[in-house]
Amino acid sequence: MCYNRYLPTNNNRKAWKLEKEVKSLILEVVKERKEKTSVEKDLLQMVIEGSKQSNLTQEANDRFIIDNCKNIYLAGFESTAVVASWCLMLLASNQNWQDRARAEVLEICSGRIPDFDMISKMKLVRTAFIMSKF
Amino acid sequence: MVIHESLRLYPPVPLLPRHALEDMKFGNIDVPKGTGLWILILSFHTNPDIWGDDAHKFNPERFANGTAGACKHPHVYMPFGVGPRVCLGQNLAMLELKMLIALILSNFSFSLSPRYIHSPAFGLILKPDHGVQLLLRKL
Repeated sequence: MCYNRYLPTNNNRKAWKLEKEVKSLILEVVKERKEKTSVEKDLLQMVIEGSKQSNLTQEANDRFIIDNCKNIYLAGFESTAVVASWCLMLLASNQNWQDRARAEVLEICSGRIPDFDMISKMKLVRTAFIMSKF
Repeated sequence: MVIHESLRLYPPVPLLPRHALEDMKFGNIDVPKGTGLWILILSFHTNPDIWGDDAHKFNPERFANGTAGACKHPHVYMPFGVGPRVCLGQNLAMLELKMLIALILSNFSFSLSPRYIHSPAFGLILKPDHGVQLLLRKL
Protein backbone atom coordinates (compact mmCIF):
# COMPACT_ATOMS: atom_id res chain seq x y z
CA MET A 1 0.00 0.00 0.00
CA CYS A 2 2.79 2.39 0.95
CA TYR A 3 4.68 2.11 -2.37
CA ASN A 4 1.73 2.74 -4.68
CA ARG A 5 2.20 6.46 -4.52
CA TYR A 6 5.58 6.22 -6.26
CA LEU A 7 4.33 4.29 -9.30
CA PRO A 8 3.46 6.32 -12.39
CA THR A 9 -0.19 5.27 -12.53
CA ASN A 10 -2.69 7.56 -14.25
CA ASN A 11 -3.99 8.87 -10.94
CA ASN A 12 -0.51 9.54 -9.63
CA ARG A 13 0.51 11.38 -12.80
CA LYS A 14 -2.58 13.52 -12.49
CA ALA A 15 -1.76 14.23 -8.83
CA TRP A 16 1.86 15.08 -9.62
CA LYS A 17 0.79 17.41 -12.43
CA LEU A 18 -1.68 19.19 -10.15
CA GLU A 19 0.90 19.45 -7.38
CA LYS A 20 3.33 21.08 -9.80
CA GLU A 21 0.65 23.48 -10.97
CA VAL A 22 -0.30 24.52 -7.40
CA LYS A 23 3.38 24.98 -6.63
CA SER A 24 3.96 27.32 -9.58
CA LEU A 25 0.74 29.25 -8.87
CA ILE A 26 1.83 29.91 -5.29
CA LEU A 27 5.40 30.81 -6.25
CA GLU A 28 4.06 33.28 -8.80
CA VAL A 29 2.00 35.08 -6.13
CA VAL A 30 5.06 35.10 -3.85
CA LYS A 31 7.22 36.54 -6.64
CA GLU A 32 4.69 39.31 -7.28
CA ARG A 33 4.63 40.11 -3.59
CA LYS A 34 8.43 40.25 -3.32
CA GLU A 35 8.61 42.68 -6.25
CA LYS A 36 6.14 45.03 -4.62
CA THR A 37 7.70 48.09 -3.00
CA SER A 38 4.93 48.76 -0.49
CA VAL A 39 4.83 46.39 2.48
CA GLU A 40 1.55 44.68 3.28
CA LYS A 41 0.85 43.28 6.70
CA ASP A 42 -0.90 39.98 6.15
CA LEU A 43 -0.35 36.25 6.55
CA LEU A 44 1.50 35.88 3.26
CA GLN A 45 3.95 38.58 4.31
CA MET A 46 4.50 36.83 7.67
CA VAL A 47 5.17 33.52 5.95
CA ILE A 48 7.65 35.12 3.56
CA GLU A 49 9.44 36.97 6.36
CA GLY A 50 9.48 33.81 8.47
CA SER A 51 11.22 31.96 5.67
CA LYS A 52 13.88 34.68 5.41
CA GLN A 53 14.80 34.32 9.06
CA SER A 54 15.79 30.69 8.73
CA ASN A 55 18.91 29.22 7.19
CA LEU A 56 17.22 27.10 4.58
CA THR A 57 18.38 26.15 1.12
CA GLN A 58 16.46 27.82 -1.69
CA GLU A 59 14.50 24.63 -2.32
CA ALA A 60 13.60 24.15 1.34
CA ASN A 61 12.73 27.82 1.51
CA ASP A 62 10.24 27.53 -1.37
CA ARG A 63 8.88 24.38 0.19
CA PHE A 64 8.33 26.19 3.51
CA ILE A 65 6.37 28.96 1.78
CA ILE A 66 4.37 26.58 -0.40
CA ASP A 67 3.42 24.24 2.46
CA ASN A 68 2.36 27.12 4.69
CA CYS A 69 0.29 28.70 1.92
CA LYS A 70 -1.36 25.36 1.19
CA ASN A 71 -2.21 24.97 4.87
CA ILE A 72 -3.53 28.46 5.47
CA TYR A 73 -5.09 29.40 2.16
CA LEU A 74 -6.27 26.02 0.86
CA ALA A 75 -6.77 23.53 3.72
CA GLY A 76 -7.68 26.28 6.17
CA PHE A 77 -10.05 28.08 3.86
CA GLU A 78 -12.64 25.77 2.36
CA SER A 79 -13.17 23.65 5.48
CA THR A 80 -14.06 26.72 7.54
CA ALA A 81 -16.01 28.39 4.72
CA VAL A 82 -18.16 25.32 4.31
CA VAL A 83 -18.98 25.22 8.04
CA ALA A 84 -20.04 28.87 7.81
CA SER A 85 -22.33 28.00 4.87
CA TRP A 86 -23.98 25.14 6.76
CA CYS A 87 -24.29 27.25 9.89
CA LEU A 88 -26.03 30.05 7.95
CA MET A 89 -28.30 27.50 6.27
CA LEU A 90 -29.30 26.10 9.67
CA LEU A 91 -29.87 29.55 11.17
CA ALA A 92 -31.90 30.56 8.09
CA SER A 93 -34.17 27.56 8.59
CA ASN A 94 -34.43 28.01 12.36
CA GLN A 95 -35.57 31.60 12.78
CA ASN A 96 -35.94 31.33 16.57
CA TRP A 97 -32.26 30.41 16.97
CA GLN A 98 -31.24 33.12 14.53
CA ASP A 99 -33.14 35.65 16.70
CA ARG A 100 -31.65 34.31 19.94
CA ALA A 101 -28.10 34.34 18.60
CA ARG A 102 -28.56 37.83 17.12
CA ALA A 103 -29.92 39.17 20.42
CA GLU A 104 -26.81 37.87 22.17
CA VAL A 105 -24.41 39.35 19.61
CA LEU A 106 -26.15 42.76 19.70
CA GLU A 107 -26.14 42.79 23.48
CA ILE A 108 -22.43 42.02 23.76
CA CYS A 109 -21.14 44.12 20.86
CA SER A 110 -23.68 46.98 20.88
CA GLY A 111 -22.72 48.20 17.43
CA ARG A 112 -18.94 47.78 17.74
CA ILE A 113 -16.82 45.39 15.69
CA PRO A 114 -16.36 42.27 17.85
CA ASP A 115 -12.95 41.85 19.47
CA PHE A 116 -11.47 38.82 21.21
CA ASP A 117 -13.08 39.61 24.61
CA MET A 118 -16.54 40.05 23.12
CA ILE A 119 -16.23 36.84 21.14
CA SER A 120 -15.20 34.92 24.27
CA LYS A 121 -18.38 36.14 25.97
CA MET A 122 -20.73 34.81 23.31
CA LYS A 123 -22.36 31.82 24.89
CA LEU A 124 -24.84 30.86 22.20
CA VAL A 125 -22.31 31.16 19.44
CA ARG A 126 -19.58 29.81 21.74
CA THR A 127 -17.54 26.68 22.08
CA ALA A 128 -15.09 26.80 24.95
CA PHE A 129 -15.72 23.20 25.96
CA ILE A 130 -14.45 21.32 22.99
CA MET A 131 -11.25 23.35 22.98
CA SER A 132 -10.35 22.34 26.51
CA LYS A 133 -10.95 18.71 25.60
CA PHE A 134 -7.79 18.21 23.59
CA MET B 1 -23.70 26.26 20.81
CA VAL B 2 -24.93 27.21 17.36
CA ILE B 3 -21.56 26.49 15.74
CA HIS B 4 -21.16 23.29 17.77
CA GLU B 5 -24.52 22.11 16.56
CA SER B 6 -23.65 22.99 12.95
CA LEU B 7 -20.39 21.06 13.28
CA ARG B 8 -22.31 18.12 14.71
CA LEU B 9 -24.82 17.89 11.87
CA TYR B 10 -22.48 18.92 9.05
CA PRO B 11 -18.90 18.03 10.05
CA PRO B 12 -16.75 19.34 7.17
CA VAL B 13 -14.73 16.12 7.32
CA PRO B 14 -17.32 13.35 7.87
CA LEU B 15 -14.88 10.45 7.38
CA LEU B 16 -11.43 9.89 8.86
CA PRO B 17 -9.08 7.22 7.48
CA ARG B 18 -6.65 5.50 9.84
CA HIS B 19 -4.15 2.71 9.36
CA ALA B 20 -3.40 0.13 12.07
CA LEU B 21 0.38 0.21 12.54
CA GLU B 22 0.30 -2.83 14.82
CA ASP B 23 -2.14 -5.55 15.89
CA MET B 24 -4.86 -3.97 18.00
CA LYS B 25 -7.92 -5.05 19.92
CA PHE B 26 -11.01 -2.85 20.31
CA GLY B 27 -13.37 -4.50 22.79
CA ASN B 28 -13.76 -7.95 21.29
CA ILE B 29 -12.79 -6.91 17.76
CA ASP B 30 -9.33 -7.95 16.57
CA VAL B 31 -7.73 -5.49 14.16
CA PRO B 32 -4.64 -6.96 12.49
CA LYS B 33 -1.65 -4.80 11.60
CA GLY B 34 -2.06 -3.07 8.24
CA THR B 35 -5.85 -2.83 8.34
CA GLY B 36 -7.35 0.33 6.91
CA LEU B 37 -9.99 1.84 9.19
CA TRP B 38 -12.64 4.39 8.26
CA ILE B 39 -14.04 6.36 11.17
CA LEU B 40 -17.58 7.48 10.32
CA ILE B 41 -17.75 10.76 12.24
CA LEU B 42 -21.11 11.70 10.76
CA SER B 43 -22.69 8.45 12.03
CA PHE B 44 -21.28 9.07 15.50
CA HIS B 45 -22.65 12.60 15.45
CA THR B 46 -26.18 11.58 14.51
CA ASN B 47 -26.65 8.31 16.40
CA PRO B 48 -29.93 8.46 18.39
CA ASP B 49 -28.50 6.01 20.98
CA ILE B 50 -25.90 8.63 21.82
CA TRP B 51 -27.71 11.93 21.24
CA GLY B 52 -31.34 11.00 21.91
CA ASP B 53 -34.37 10.87 19.63
CA ASP B 54 -33.81 14.38 18.28
CA ALA B 55 -30.34 13.44 17.00
CA HIS B 56 -31.18 14.68 13.49
CA LYS B 57 -32.75 17.96 14.67
CA PHE B 58 -30.98 21.31 14.91
CA ASN B 59 -31.08 22.02 18.63
CA PRO B 60 -28.11 24.06 19.90
CA GLU B 61 -29.62 23.92 23.40
CA ARG B 62 -28.16 20.43 23.82
CA PHE B 63 -24.72 22.04 24.13
CA ALA B 64 -25.84 24.34 26.99
CA ASN B 65 -23.71 22.31 29.41
CA GLY B 66 -20.86 21.58 27.03
CA THR B 67 -20.18 18.48 25.02
CA ALA B 68 -20.30 16.31 28.13
CA GLY B 69 -23.86 17.45 28.83
CA ALA B 70 -24.97 17.00 25.23
CA CYS B 71 -24.61 13.25 24.82
CA LYS B 72 -23.79 9.95 26.49
CA HIS B 73 -20.29 9.58 25.08
CA PRO B 74 -18.68 13.02 24.59
CA HIS B 75 -15.58 11.55 22.94
CA VAL B 76 -17.59 10.58 19.84
CA TYR B 77 -18.08 14.29 19.11
CA MET B 78 -14.98 15.04 17.05
CA PRO B 79 -15.55 17.61 14.32
CA PHE B 80 -11.81 18.39 14.42
CA GLY B 81 -10.63 14.81 14.81
CA VAL B 82 -8.74 13.59 17.89
CA GLY B 83 -5.26 12.52 18.90
CA PRO B 84 -1.85 13.65 17.70
CA ARG B 85 -3.30 14.60 14.30
CA VAL B 86 -6.13 16.73 15.68
CA CYS B 87 -6.91 19.73 13.46
CA LEU B 88 -4.07 22.21 13.75
CA GLY B 89 -6.29 25.13 12.87
CA GLN B 90 -9.27 24.50 15.14
CA ASN B 91 -8.80 27.58 17.31
CA LEU B 92 -8.30 29.80 14.29
CA ALA B 93 -11.34 28.25 12.59
CA MET B 94 -13.60 28.77 15.62
CA LEU B 95 -12.46 32.37 15.96
CA GLU B 96 -13.08 33.05 12.26
CA LEU B 97 -16.50 31.42 12.43
CA LYS B 98 -17.64 33.31 15.51
CA MET B 99 -16.44 36.59 14.03
CA LEU B 100 -18.15 35.94 10.71
CA ILE B 101 -21.46 34.70 12.12
CA ALA B 102 -21.56 37.53 14.68
CA LEU B 103 -21.01 40.18 11.99
CA ILE B 104 -23.59 38.69 9.63
CA LEU B 105 -26.14 38.32 12.45
CA SER B 106 -25.74 41.90 13.59
CA ASN B 107 -26.15 43.32 10.07
CA PHE B 108 -28.66 41.07 8.35
CA SER B 109 -31.75 39.02 8.94
CA PHE B 110 -31.84 36.05 6.58
CA SER B 111 -34.05 33.20 5.43
CA LEU B 112 -33.61 30.38 2.94
CA SER B 113 -34.24 31.27 -0.69
CA PRO B 114 -36.84 29.10 -2.48
CA ARG B 115 -34.04 28.38 -4.95
CA TYR B 116 -32.01 26.53 -2.32
CA ILE B 117 -31.70 22.82 -3.08
CA HIS B 118 -30.61 20.75 -0.11
CA SER B 119 -27.91 18.41 -1.33
CA PRO B 120 -24.97 17.74 0.99
CA ALA B 121 -22.24 16.19 -1.16
CA PHE B 122 -19.07 14.47 -0.06
CA GLY B 123 -15.94 15.35 -1.97
CA LEU B 124 -12.87 15.93 0.13
CA ILE B 125 -15.22 17.77 2.49
CA LEU B 126 -18.98 17.75 3.09
CA LYS B 127 -20.33 20.69 1.09
CA PRO B 128 -23.63 21.99 -0.28
CA ASP B 129 -23.65 20.70 -3.86
CA HIS B 130 -25.57 23.67 -5.27
CA GLY B 131 -24.42 26.31 -2.78
CA VAL B 132 -26.59 27.96 -0.10
CA GLN B 133 -28.89 30.68 -1.44
CA LEU B 134 -30.16 33.06 1.23
CA LEU B 135 -32.53 36.01 1.18
CA LEU B 136 -30.86 38.82 3.11
CA ARG B 137 -32.57 41.80 4.70
CA LYS B 138 -30.45 44.66 6.03
CA LEU B 139 -31.28 45.39 9.67
